[in-house]
Amino acid sequence: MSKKNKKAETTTGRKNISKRQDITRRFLRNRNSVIGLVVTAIFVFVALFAPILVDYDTQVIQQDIPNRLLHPGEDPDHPLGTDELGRDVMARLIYAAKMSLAIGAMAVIIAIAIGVVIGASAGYFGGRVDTILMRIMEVLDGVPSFLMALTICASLGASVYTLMIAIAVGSIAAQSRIVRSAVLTVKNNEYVEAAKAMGASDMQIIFYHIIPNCVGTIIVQFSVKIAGGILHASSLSFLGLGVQPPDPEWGAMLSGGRAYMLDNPTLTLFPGLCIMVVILAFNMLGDGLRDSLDPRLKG
Amino acid sequence: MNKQYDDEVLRVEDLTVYYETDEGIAKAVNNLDLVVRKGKTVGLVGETGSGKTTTALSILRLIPDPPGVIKSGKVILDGMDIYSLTEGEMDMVRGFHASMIFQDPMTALNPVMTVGDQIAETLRIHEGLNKADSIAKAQEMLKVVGIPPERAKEYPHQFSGGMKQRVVIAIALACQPKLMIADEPTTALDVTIQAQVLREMKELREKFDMSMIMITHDLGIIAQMCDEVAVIYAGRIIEFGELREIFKDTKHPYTQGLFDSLPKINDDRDMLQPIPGLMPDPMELPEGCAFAPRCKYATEKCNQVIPPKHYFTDTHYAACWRYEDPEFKL
Amino acid sequence: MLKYVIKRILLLIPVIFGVTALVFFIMSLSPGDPALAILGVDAEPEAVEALREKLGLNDPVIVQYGRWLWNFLHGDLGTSYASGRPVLEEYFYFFPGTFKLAFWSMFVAVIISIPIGIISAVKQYSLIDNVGMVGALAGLSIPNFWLGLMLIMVFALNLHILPSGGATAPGAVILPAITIGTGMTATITRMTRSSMLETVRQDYIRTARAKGVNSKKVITHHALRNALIPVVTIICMDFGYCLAGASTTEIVFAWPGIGRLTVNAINSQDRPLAIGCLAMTAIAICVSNMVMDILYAIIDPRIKLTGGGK
Repeated sequence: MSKKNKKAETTTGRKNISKRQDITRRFLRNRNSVIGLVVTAIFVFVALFAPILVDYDTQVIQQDIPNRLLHPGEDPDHPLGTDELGRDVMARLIYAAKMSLAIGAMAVIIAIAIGVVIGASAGYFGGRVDTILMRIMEVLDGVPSFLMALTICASLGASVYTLMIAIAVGSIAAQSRIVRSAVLTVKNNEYVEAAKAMGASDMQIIFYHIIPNCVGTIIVQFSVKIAGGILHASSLSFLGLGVQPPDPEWGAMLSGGRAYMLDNPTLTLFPGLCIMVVILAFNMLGDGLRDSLDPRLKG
Repeated sequence: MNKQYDDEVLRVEDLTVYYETDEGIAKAVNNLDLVVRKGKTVGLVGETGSGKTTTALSILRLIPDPPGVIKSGKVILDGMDIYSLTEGEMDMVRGFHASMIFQDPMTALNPVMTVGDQIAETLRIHEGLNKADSIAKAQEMLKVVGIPPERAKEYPHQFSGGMKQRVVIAIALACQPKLMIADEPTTALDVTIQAQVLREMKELREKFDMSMIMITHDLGIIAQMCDEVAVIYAGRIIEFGELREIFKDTKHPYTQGLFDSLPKINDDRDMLQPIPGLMPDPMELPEGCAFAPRCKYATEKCNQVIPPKHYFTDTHYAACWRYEDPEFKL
Repeated sequence: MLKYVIKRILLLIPVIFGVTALVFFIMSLSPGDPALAILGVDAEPEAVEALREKLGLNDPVIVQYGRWLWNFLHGDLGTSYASGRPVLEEYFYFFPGTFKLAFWSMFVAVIISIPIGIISAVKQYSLIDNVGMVGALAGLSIPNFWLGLMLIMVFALNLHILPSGGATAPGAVILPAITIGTGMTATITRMTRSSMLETVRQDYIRTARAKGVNSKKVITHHALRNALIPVVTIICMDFGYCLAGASTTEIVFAWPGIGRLTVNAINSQDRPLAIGCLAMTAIAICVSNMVMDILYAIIDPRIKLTGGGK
């Protein structure tokens, strides 16, 4: 009763604030989510402008054996040093941001697109459709997503595109499940009943009424799953199954630096830091978005 | 300030409780006075959000803090000044001197503890009983509320809603407190079960000679259970009196409005008359009488200054400016 | 209970069937020729062809899968191309290593995360809470292979106090267990905190307070058991996934375990071993989920294990 009391009191207290303003305000009040947003924005900026910031042919892939394994600060031309083939570490890190973010984002877009279709159908139609689709998802869940991605990459041949598909396949099941449960909560709302009563078709209801109401959930998932996608991509590249040389990727760079860990620890340190910071930023952003957009999902 | 009595079990003076949230300060309870005498049942009636539950929780210092803050006031329970006790002393008061029954029996019991254990726990805390004795006494309490004692070993989910509320009542009664606060104890129950539970509560109150605060929005329950009635509006008691005085000699326009919005059995021509408007937002309470914006009798003064208590008898008062005019009648 | 276990096993069958069919299909898309891989690039084409015939690689995929399934139902998972040893033998040779690692990782995670999660929730917005939550988020974001390398760099290469890899040296399990445990600590801490926060808001906590239970006992006697129910789920799920082997960590530390075995098998197109490992993994995950459900029924009296669903 007291909870209800308080809720009634506080909701009537903000009559002049629109829902969007309210979400923005809740988001901005959380220090962590703002930090997440800023850092994410920086990485996205770097990724988008990587081809302008660094020259692919001369800086990213051109080998310069005499200047190999320079320590950071040893040569002003290479502020973060050079790798085992004399390539500038800084330029490669910047270019790798583009690879990682593109792979993460594409993989998540593919997974969400498929997940929305499967989850929405399963949740909306229910019954046999639901049972069959969810059984299929159970099969996909039977293997840990990383091993599934690994199998796909190893069998189809490693490339950026295989990597995207492989990572996407690994998270379709989880994605569908989340969309399905969001749909199930929305489905029984009165406005859906009303739309049905007015003769809207199933497709109309799904696309005009149900999916827009799951957007909050989907946005939150997007942010959280990109972090997972980047992690998987770098793990696969670390194992040599992701981005192929000479293209730079943080996981691959890290793997290349392993042999020089004692004398050139920065070769493994920097790429790892990049992965961690970008994933941390996306996770913080995701947490903040979840708390402000979709408090139901808290936890 | 209310009149002093010798047999007071509870005295609340000038209680003010705010919820301080980021959206603003919700003034949930404002300068509330209340006296409960031994063996009496006082009904606290008002709409959702009028501050009934906040008042009850403040008496036992159970306001969630943050955001709840007790801004001012004094609560004397069984001779003790509640707000001067330490947390440890307060634990000894809760459940022993005063206990509480909550609105929703479905969620009020711990799902992973047997009901017997949940009753026995309070006995162990306050009466220092050992495990076996406390369980035996818990079974006795179950019998008192009409549940077979052997069901003490069962878990809450194995009970129906009405049965669960009986268990909650058994917990509240276990140490035979002086005061029992019942917060809408039957709202979540079926109508038939409601009547049963209320009847049992009334019998038990008499049997254990306790005082009771009955919080409800249902005037029917008030009529059935209470000796005195406090009508609460926007965190303030706007009319207080004995049951008969409130029902037969209604003074405050808001109380009048509550009665008018009830169907009357012997007069079926009358249309129901809802009170126009809504209760004010507790974050933006009006300057004067909180009911003035909805009151058809309101004057300029009502809008500007909070009305004092106007006594009609020793026991009956209403907080309304209009009674300054001796001619005024509803 | 028995009925429940049987039901779980029956439900496992379509999953195993689906998983193996899917993996079989994906692996058959590979352009590489396992026969050529076994015999080496310089092998005579006739010898390669003969081996393909012997391994049944010339049959349609569906026939190959049917044969595999038939053998699987008879308890035979085939023979590893690479080592020539039976797949099951290989799997169980490496399983204890993975189990040991999973156990110690979980041990590290549980003893750190549950206390921190509880304190964070009880003292919400306090310093411990803020530090704990940022730490948990960071732990969640560290890639295992990088954390592993950093630990090796510090504790093995520079301080020389712990071995950098392998499983035989004393204390070898410490670094890999910390590596895997860090991520788990993060998830379990977050789960414990949010579950605890949810629980302390429940009505029955207020009931307990109202009957005079003091604030400490309310947490230990009333909130904790309720709050830990979802935490147990996460722990069991994580443990199940650990049994699949922590591939990158096992590789970084050269730890003999299922993860490394599986990755190597997939990488070298050792189909019987890869599919066998994935099938066994699916079974291991399912068994740990089953254990989770049983634990669930022990802590939560509302749940009864029945053959007919919960």
